[in-house]
Amino acid sequence: MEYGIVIYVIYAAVAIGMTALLARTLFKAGAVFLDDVFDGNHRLAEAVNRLLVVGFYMLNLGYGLFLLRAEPQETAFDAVAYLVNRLAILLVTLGVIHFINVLVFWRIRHRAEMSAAPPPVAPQVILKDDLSTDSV
Amino acid sequence: MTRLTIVYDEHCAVCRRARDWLLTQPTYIPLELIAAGSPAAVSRLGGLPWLGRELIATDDEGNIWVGPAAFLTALWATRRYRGWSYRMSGARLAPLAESFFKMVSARRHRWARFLDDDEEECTWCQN
Repeated sequence: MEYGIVIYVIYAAVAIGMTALLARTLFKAGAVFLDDVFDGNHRLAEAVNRLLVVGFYMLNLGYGLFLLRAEPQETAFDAVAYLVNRLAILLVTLGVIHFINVLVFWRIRHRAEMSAAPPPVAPQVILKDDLSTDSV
Repeated sequence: MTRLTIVYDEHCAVCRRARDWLLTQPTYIPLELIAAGSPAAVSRLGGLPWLGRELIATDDEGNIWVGPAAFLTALWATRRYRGWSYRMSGARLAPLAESFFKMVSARRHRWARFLDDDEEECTWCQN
């Protein structure tokens, strides 16, 4: 019996399912994050979020489909072993991409925080309008 | 704060070099560099005893940072080194950064000969 087509079908189902699930998680959690970063500018936050998720989909689905080049397997055991191996590679890769995505979110947020941060040290003197000086 | 003014010692080659470097840096807020002996500096900060002796940073709200604090505030204004300004003001690095700045600042007129700089020599400093 030929197992190639079975591998393809199961693999495609899992790959698409995993990608969709991860993308949904990313989209939901990212929205909260980006809303904060863009200071309540919902439209911009949503646009950036959507762009990131689209990139995530393309990268993952493209890579996932690229990964599978099944040859007809002799036995059921070979077929399952091959499938498991492919899925493992796919999952590890998805994990890495996901963490890179989180890192991108974190960097965006960090940058926004930095631009609003106050000076690192308090001023020694505060000059009042009447030009008298107050030491602090 | 919408603007930061750095008052540097125009008679010191290291300070002029630092000014030139700072002017090339992208900043979060507009940065203004004025010489300690300039009329603008004297009219704004003439009452301060540190004018011309120490590096001074001041903003449009009347806050004034002097010496190492001014150095950190200038770093803080730059996009690239804002993170470092916090690190260097932290408990671990602050003493080191402060003594380094004081060391450079106190001997600033002696470094001139190492810099290929043909602007005027310091004529009034006590060092």
